[in-house]
Amino acid sequence: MAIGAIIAGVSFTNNSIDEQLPSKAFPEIGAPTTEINITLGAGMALPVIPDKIMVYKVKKPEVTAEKVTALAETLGLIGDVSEDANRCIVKHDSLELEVLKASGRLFYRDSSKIYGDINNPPNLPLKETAIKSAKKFLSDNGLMPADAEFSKVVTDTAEIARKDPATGDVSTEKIDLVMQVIFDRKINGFPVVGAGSKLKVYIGNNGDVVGVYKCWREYEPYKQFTILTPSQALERLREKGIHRVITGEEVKVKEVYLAYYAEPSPEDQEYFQPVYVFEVDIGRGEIVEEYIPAIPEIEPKISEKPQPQLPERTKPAPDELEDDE
Amino acid sequence: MPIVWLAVLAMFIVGISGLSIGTVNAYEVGVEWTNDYSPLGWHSFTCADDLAIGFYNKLGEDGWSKDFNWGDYYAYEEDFKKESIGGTDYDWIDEVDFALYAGHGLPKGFYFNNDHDDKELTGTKSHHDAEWGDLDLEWIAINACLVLNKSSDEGEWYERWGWGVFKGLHQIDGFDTETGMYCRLGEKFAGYMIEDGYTIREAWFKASEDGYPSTMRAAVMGVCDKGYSTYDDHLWGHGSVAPDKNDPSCLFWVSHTC
Repeated sequence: MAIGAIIAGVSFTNNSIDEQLPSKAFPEIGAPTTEINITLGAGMALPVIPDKIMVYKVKKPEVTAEKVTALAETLGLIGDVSEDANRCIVKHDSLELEVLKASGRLFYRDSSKIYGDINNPPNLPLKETAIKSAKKFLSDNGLMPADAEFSKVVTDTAEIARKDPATGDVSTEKIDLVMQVIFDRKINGFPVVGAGSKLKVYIGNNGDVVGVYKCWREYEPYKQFTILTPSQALERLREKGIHRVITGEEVKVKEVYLAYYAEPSPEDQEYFQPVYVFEVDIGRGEIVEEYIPAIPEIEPKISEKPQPQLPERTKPAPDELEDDE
Repeated sequence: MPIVWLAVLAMFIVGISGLSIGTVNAYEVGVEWTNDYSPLGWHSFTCADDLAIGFYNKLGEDGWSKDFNWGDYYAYEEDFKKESIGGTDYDWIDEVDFALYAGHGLPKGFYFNNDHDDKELTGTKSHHDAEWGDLDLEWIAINACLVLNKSSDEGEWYERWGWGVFKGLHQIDGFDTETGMYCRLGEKFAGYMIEDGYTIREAWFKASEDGYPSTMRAAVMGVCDKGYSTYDDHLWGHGSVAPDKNDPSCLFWVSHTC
């Protein structure tokens, strides 16, 4: 019912029907959470946003075996390219370069090092050294986009917990496994959010670059579209609800901004479309991001997805095979 | 004689293939998922089914036996719960090699929408609904927020999902943070294990990187006793797998920024 109301509520703008954009772009949409009061944080004001904004058309990446081979050689991988409908991939010892045809996402990695090893922890460098190594590697290999902006460095960690069999006492040991130097991008002055806008360089032992994940779709201007105002978007958020488990009765919006949304790298994406990003404090010390499409015509049409066919449940369990391990 | 030789050859092939499943169809997968959380008043999903079934079908294409796919009102918490407190995991989750659940979660558990037998599969420092691997289960992936959160009011990761739960289980793959519901995560996860021979941990991390923004962190926990580790387990038939160990003394927890 509520979803229908959202889809029907397209009278906020005057975009014509022939300007409609694909409606599949946004994740996490479902029925609204009930009985949750969504309010602005103390002293917070909604931002001033232009009433029209450019939508960008994503250029289809040209991923060929020849191009991937050339890039692989640049990165020191000598080997044949395996190609299928979705990707090109080169493997050479523990090195691997995979490029997806849908988005052009490249993933270069040393598989023996990229996720770290709890049994052989690396000697990780200082953050400044890691940033310098990452920038140099990207520049030297032609992988640094002109619009990339350094964002942050994170360190992926592990913890080992050992239990004394005699006493039951538990001791723990923290291990730093790998650093990630992360870059962001902006389009038209607005940040790009979502899983499919990503440039990360993995830094391992002694500052070595052990991987690069880059999903950086190219684009060109498409058309200007009238968008929701921030207060209209907030109303939409209240209609839609928060797509997390909410244990209290109220959540607070900590920040609101306009952004462009990038789909996950395995997906074809036709347009970079604007979304309102609501950073919401849901309690438990957690801030989550909720996306509201800024152009209401592109609200996902939930009803288009057929209800899943639920197989009739029967007992006993179907498994009559012997255990294997 | 030729028949004898063929029989010997067939036995040899089965012997050397060891963990290969293409011909013996010995390994089993089961998935459960919840889209509709309206009975709890929570936000519902639209593609927890796609995520789970993508995984289920991909393993099926690899020769696995597709044992069960239960969703929404047919996804039961009791299927995951140990027998000693009224659960029936012996018929379901602990009767397959690899299980996957997609739905809502918190550090203290993951959630269902019906009363079979309650709506929360709980793991806290004082109570464990789950006890996995004492029959068959090697690996379980849980696409739900925060279940493998490192440290929460309900206890540390090893107190909530550690020694009380690992009774032969090799790994739990989940998330340290909030997460999303990327419809193709299950398919990608399985694909990386099957087509690229990645370890289960690597495949989970890479699929999560493809599907979720770098504000989120995937996590994996498993067993790391001296001379024994499930850290580098592969899918059956695609690389090495540690044997079962029902009383581990060392557990690992690893996180990876998506």
